[in-house]
Amino acid sequence: MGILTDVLKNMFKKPFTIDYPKKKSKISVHFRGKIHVDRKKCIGCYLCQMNCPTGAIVVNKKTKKAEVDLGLCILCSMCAEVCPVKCIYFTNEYENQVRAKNKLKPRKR
Amino acid sequence: MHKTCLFPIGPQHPSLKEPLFLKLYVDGTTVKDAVFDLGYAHRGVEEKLEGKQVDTALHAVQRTCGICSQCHTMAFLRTVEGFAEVEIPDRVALQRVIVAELERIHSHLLWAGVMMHELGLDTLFMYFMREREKILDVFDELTGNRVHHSSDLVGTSKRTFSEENLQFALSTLDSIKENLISYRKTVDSHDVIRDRCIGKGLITKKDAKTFGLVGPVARACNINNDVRVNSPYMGYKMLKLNSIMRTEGDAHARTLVRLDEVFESMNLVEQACNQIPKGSVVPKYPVKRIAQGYGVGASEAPRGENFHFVKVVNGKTARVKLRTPTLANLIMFPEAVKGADITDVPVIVMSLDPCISCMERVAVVKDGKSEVWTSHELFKGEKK
Ligand code: SF4
Ligand code: SF4
Repeated sequence: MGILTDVLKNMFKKPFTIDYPKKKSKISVHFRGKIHVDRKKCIGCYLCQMNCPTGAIVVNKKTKKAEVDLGLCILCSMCAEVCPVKCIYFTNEYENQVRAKNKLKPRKR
Repeated sequence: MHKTCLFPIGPQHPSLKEPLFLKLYVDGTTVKDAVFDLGYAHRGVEEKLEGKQVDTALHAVQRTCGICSQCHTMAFLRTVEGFAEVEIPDRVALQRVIVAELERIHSHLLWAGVMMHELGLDTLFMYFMREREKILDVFDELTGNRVHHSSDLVGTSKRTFSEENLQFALSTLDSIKENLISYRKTVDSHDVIRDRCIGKGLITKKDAKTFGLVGPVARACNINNDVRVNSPYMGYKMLKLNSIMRTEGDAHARTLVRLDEVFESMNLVEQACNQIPKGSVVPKYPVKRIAQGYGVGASEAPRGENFHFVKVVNGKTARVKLRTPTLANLIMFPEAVKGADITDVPVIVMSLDPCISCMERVAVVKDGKSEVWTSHELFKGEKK
């Protein structure tokens, strides 16, 4: 019986889901979305590369700047934690699916 | 004497969420014997964890499970902080417990939803999922990620939960509590649920002890093996907690144990939020670099005891062994389904709460003797 009253109540409520592509869901300011490296600030110290669990972030040997392979990154924020100049940060972008693989900036492996 | 015939379920089957091969030997519709086969979702977790710095390995070990990522953090940190003798402040200890208990709530609600779906009650499934969604929003606010929280480091946490964060967590729990009480009442009294669960997948206390079951499955057989009670760790030392136990040992008891644990966890989160020292902040990373040592540690995951062995050599992990609770509980499956009707099998499997891909480690056993395979041989699929 309990469930029946619940069903009846919910029939007259607004839907719990949101109209997704038109409306974006509210996310917190601390949310770790797409990772971003500030290339101007990066000093090429290799600390992030040494601490990344998946090997997603690698310092480019020529430019001496860190680059992230977005397909490998698990958004764990370990690199941001160790970076001495704090030039790695996470945007609030959570729609990270792409249609073409090269948009994830993959490295040759 | 009838002959039994083999009824395969899996490795890919609409009613299974993960690849698992159940072989049921049936006579008519009665299950006479059952075997399960693993190895379809092996990911090489332990191999991936070798040769990493401790903090790095911590972020990798959380990815073992998508539902209970914090319990792996807790077990791993308990181990390394144990042997390296790192003292953690109260704030960090309680923050970890808050995340872990919220995770237990979300895991049990997810499980309850899927169980109801398995019983054919999709309305309840939707309701449980709706409440769970709010918990995920709390994770988002507290830790920055909805599923893999990555909120901790050795000896510290990544961020200090602000007073508003804790208030948000408490108010969310308040808002779902009333609904959950009514769902629990429904689960306890609904005729379909009672008919399909009571007396199904019966496990006796003796069997549960012999097979070494863990978590809610054992607690439904009146065995208290809650790691949080028996050997409290981190913030649990400061909190008061009751183990939820039942005596029936069937699928219905397991359902109710899990639902009651949700309320107990809410209680724990409330206690922890109130006990966090006001105005304190988490220590700065790094607290301590761990160079050498080895040890074991356990934490109470939503599904039971989660056990880690960690060995660190020259600042890098040399070996990490994980034993996830599903492995301990799934062993009971052939016994639990023996004599059951074939239509009850999905309910019985679900009531053990299997999480297959977390527990897959390769084991090759031929003619009763174990063999050692190198990674190269495994890759090729044959032994030289
Ligand atoms: S740790 Fe920071 S400064 Fe060093 S290489 Fe990485 S991004 Fe650049
Ligand atoms: S967030 Fe984690 S996985 Fe991604 S680049 Fe940084 S350390 Fe590597």
